[in-house]
Amino acid sequence: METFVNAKTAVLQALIRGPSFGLELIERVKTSTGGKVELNQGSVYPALRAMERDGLVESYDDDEVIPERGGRPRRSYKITAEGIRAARDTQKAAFGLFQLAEVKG
Amino acid sequence: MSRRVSPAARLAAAQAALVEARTEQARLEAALAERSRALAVVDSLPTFVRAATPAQKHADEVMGDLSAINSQILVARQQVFVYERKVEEASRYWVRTGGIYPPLGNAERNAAVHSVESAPSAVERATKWLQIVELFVSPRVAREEIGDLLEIIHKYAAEGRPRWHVYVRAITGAVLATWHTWGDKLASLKKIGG
Repeated sequence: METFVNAKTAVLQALIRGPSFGLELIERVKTSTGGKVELNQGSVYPALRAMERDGLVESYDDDEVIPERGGRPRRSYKITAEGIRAARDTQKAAFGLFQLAEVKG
Repeated sequence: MSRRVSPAARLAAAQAALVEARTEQARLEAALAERSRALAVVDSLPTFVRAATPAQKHADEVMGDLSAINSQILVARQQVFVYERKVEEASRYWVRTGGIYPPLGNAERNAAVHSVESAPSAVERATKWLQIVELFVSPRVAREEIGDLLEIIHKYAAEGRPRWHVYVRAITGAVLATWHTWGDKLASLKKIGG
């Protein structure tokens, strides 16, 4: 399904609600957009790592042991102060864009 | 136009025919026993009594009946044999489709169950394969993406999805993990290059 937002924007907005890991972030975005935005693993992981390199998010290994993962810890992400600023900026930009569309429509 | 019959319907039809053949055989054998008893009564009578009464004529008729019944019993036994084989054949087909196999012997049944239970599951196969893939991806991708992939595969199995879903998911996930490893390497090279 083609989405109207890119993976970075969607994941950053989802992380405002609290720390999470790849699979849960995909589910969180899907639920919060009523299924309109469906991310896949192919786009989420590169987006998370790119944002980490840019200092927008931080990652850490979870202590929780999940037998299905065969000893591999979950990698969780939390948004940084810079990430929050970037997310707010995106929200403002999107809000402005949609207001414009409303006036014109 | 030929009509396709399901294995279950074929088994049910063969079993019904077998029951009918066995009932007919039992009826004929009961008739034979009854005629034999009647003949024994006539045989126990003194010769002069048999000659003076219609007993001898009756005995001759009974002898004729016995002969006819014996022939019918032979046919009935053949029918029972044929339908027993048909039930067996239908049941063999039925067990291959995953259903119940009523006339299967315990040893044969246990062997079949054992072979199914001891076969590696799709999750086990996919896990082994992903462990090999893990050797070719970065440690971080291995922990994060392969770990998540294993969670998804287990979820698929718990949901009872077909095996091919598990295999396709494992293959696409492994391709993505390899691709992301190269992407990460390239990104870090770019960062170093400034």
